[in-house]
Amino acid sequence: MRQVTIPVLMMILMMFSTCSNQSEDASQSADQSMQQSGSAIDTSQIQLQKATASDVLQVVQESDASVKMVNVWATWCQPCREEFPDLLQLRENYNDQGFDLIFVSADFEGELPQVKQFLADHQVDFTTFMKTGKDMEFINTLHDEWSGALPATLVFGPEGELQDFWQGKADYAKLESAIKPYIQ
Amino acid sequence: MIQIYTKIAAVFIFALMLAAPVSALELGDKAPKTDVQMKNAAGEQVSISDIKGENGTLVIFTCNSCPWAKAWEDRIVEIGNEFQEKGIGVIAINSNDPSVNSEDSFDVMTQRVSSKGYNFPYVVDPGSQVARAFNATKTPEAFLFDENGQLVYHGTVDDDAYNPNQVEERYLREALQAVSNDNKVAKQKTKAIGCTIKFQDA
Repeated sequence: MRQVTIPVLMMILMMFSTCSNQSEDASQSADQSMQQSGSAIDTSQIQLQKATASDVLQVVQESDASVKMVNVWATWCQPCREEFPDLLQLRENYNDQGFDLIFVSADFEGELPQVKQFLADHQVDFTTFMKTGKDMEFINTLHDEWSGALPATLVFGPEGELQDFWQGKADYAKLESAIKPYIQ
Repeated sequence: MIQIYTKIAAVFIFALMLAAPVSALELGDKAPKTDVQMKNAAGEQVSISDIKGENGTLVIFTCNSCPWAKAWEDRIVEIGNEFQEKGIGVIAINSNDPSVNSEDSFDVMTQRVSSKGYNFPYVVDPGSQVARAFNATKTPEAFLFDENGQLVYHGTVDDDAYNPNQVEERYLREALQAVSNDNKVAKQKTKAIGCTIKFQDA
């Protein structure tokens, strides 16, 4: 990622904290599937960075994992919400075997509080990203054949080379078979 | 004997259909499934052929539930109403399975048509067959055909769903203007994030 100066970081932090204060009503109307039985983490602990498609691809290139999966999702996207737990399960099972999961939320910028709440409810304690900038450039930079429909998933091999791409929901078996050949 | 051959042929054709790669409608293609009868908010049956305009035809796959379709809805209604007056046939099609999200029901469609002031038909795609034939993948997704019925624009409404006042490129409006004036569409393929179409079981 680009070097972020401290003032910018502070501004972002201030913005995030203001947003989460305003978010209480919105987050209560959020999807019921978010209500998990386990102890949710606090939204203030959520590490969410704004990213362009180039930023996302740079994260992929800089990752030393042997297989990287980029999943573009949104809080309002039903199939995204449905596959989210499977993606987390995949990470849980393979993170220590060279698998890196990179979530990118494509929610509207004003939905930042809902995004943080969703991530907190799912106890996402690792850094994830939120799309910034115009759609078309974002879509085409990630993959030419992507229509923009959510969710979209890309799989990259050890050298950051694209190995697989699909749009629409996948089940656990499909997710696992996409990364299995690259697991150490 | 003939029956057996027919059955074998049917199985073979079916297998071919399964194996056929899914590719989006290409520029220059004609609209498929133009005679499928679809119910509009008034309960009447309307097909794409029925609404064909003398200057062109705009088919938009959309729905009631998708936040991106909602964000663009006012602009879709405005553009559709305006260009319908300029000889473009306009139809909005909901191909989503309402059992996935009840907001995509026919009742909500009729409410939207009156509250948002649609002057063009907003119809139900029976069995999602029209969306399948177009290989439409998401909502909203626009297909614009010229006066000869050839696809000249495929894509989104503009470059900013969320901030209508920050739109820089009005792709659909510009394409419609070009088609209305018999000019070539400058940007024929555009993209935006959207919701997957929740196809009904075939």
